[in-house]
Amino acid sequence: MKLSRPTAAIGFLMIAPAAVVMLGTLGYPIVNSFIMSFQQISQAGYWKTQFIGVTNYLHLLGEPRFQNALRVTAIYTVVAVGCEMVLGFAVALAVFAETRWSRLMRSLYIVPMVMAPVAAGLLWRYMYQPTFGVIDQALMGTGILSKPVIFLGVVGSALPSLLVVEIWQATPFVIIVFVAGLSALPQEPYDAALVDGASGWKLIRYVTLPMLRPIILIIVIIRSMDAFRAFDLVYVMTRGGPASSTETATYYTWISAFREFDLGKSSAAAYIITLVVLLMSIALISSIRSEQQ
Amino acid sequence: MSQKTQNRSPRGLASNSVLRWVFLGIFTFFVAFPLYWMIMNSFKTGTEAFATPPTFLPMQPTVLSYVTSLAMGQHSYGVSFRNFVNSIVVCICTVVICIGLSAPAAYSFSRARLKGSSLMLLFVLLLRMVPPIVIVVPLYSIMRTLGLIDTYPALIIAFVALNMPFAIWLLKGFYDGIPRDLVEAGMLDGCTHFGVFFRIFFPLSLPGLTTGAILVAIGTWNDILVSMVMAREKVKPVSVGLGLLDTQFDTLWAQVMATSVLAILPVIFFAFLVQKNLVRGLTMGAVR
Repeated sequence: MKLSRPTAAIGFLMIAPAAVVMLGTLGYPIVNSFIMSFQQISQAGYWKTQFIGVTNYLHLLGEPRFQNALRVTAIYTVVAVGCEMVLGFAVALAVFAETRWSRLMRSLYIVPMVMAPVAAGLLWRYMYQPTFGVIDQALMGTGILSKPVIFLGVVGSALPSLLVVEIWQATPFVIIVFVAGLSALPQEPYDAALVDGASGWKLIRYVTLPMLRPIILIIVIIRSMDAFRAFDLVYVMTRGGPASSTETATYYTWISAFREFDLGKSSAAAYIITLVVLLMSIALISSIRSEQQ
Repeated sequence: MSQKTQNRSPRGLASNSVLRWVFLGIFTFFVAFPLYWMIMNSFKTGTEAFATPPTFLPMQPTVLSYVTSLAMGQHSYGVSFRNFVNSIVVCICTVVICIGLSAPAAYSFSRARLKGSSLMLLFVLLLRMVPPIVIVVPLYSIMRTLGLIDTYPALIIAFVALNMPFAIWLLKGFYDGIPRDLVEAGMLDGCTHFGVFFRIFFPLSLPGLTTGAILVAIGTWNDILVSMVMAREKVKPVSVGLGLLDTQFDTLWAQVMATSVLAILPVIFFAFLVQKNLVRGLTMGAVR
């Protein structure tokens, strides 16, 4: 008999409260919203619901504004996660060595990571202000630009400007996870590779990166999940504009639920987002699993 | 690059390469300058924050922005003292309930050998991956029906629910790292399972619990998506007030920066407290 293990009864008893709460506050809404996604829900003094099959889904998939929101979200996720991975890995390699400076830098990097996206968004919006904003001032002062750029007000530059803020906030997460991963790597493969005459980039390419694979996948999963649900920065910095060029899928869903009060359509939109996120995560998780076999 | 420098830090770039320091310098500037800019401008006068060319140190340093930003919150424009109280109440209640329920569950997942426990864990992970917007829309209808919109329970219930899958995975990760021998010793000394949980596991898992509590609190403090839906004026938290500090034509930037500093200070303080465990926390225990 294993003394150190709780019996099944006690085990279930300890899970039960959490399970009840999750079923009630997550499970029920999830099912509820699935049902709502097949209904037309209109607010005419009271809420009137009518079953309309997959009409909400068909409308959404045929609607250019929703297609645009999905495209913006896809671009946002791929560019953000891609840049964060490359930049984060490079910085992690550079700050990995234990010196007083690198420890100080790592502490500094935590600040943008934990601050509210609302605060980060406001801060950058201030810096992006045309004419008096510090970025325009710097670019004009050094003669790179002759006239101010309206970073957040023009279709071509709004999304890249948002992405810079996203990268500013999230790269530190990638860095600290990579630093932890790097310090947990065994020394022997490096010694062996050094004996074989490998050096510099070759060590990174053929020793470090393969050993970090599981961690790379974990970071990609967590970051893609978060980037795909981008909302806060969009809300604070651009409200989806100009001309819907920064309208992400979550922002679109929020608008259709809480500004247009079309709860049926927004539930369908939310389900499409969920489906994409789950498929993405399951694909990545199963690649970790097969990695570990 | 010589063999010698490689040996010192074979995993990273050579430690004394110029490239490395230039690269780090540029990146650190990218991270630090906006933070510097926020703090500097929070101490400027309203007009100096609009000055061209911008001043890099406030010419007449003043804390006026901090005072007026809180005073302005009284007129539902910006962040009031009330909003801070709301955020604190919601964060504390969320953390206590969420961790209080997640810890026993995580302990059970980590230690009891239950039928279907790995399936349940996978299910919890799936719940963690469901984007909050899916839950927010129906939860809003439910709270409306119950008449809970703009009350603390609406916010607390929503945050407990959304954070619980994350908390369970995180704490399970920490519990998995606690050696079994200690528990066996406790059992031999006559502790019950609940006794083991509270007398041995609880103290040993304090770093994990603290990390979990602080990460849940930070997520709750920073959220706007759920808060904007569940709160109106009465229980409006800091984050939402901050998001409303916004008029296209005359945004008072010095005050906005001062308010932002106030809003993020508690979060930064707590994040530094758990800095050591942050990685495990943020990856739900998947990376040590």
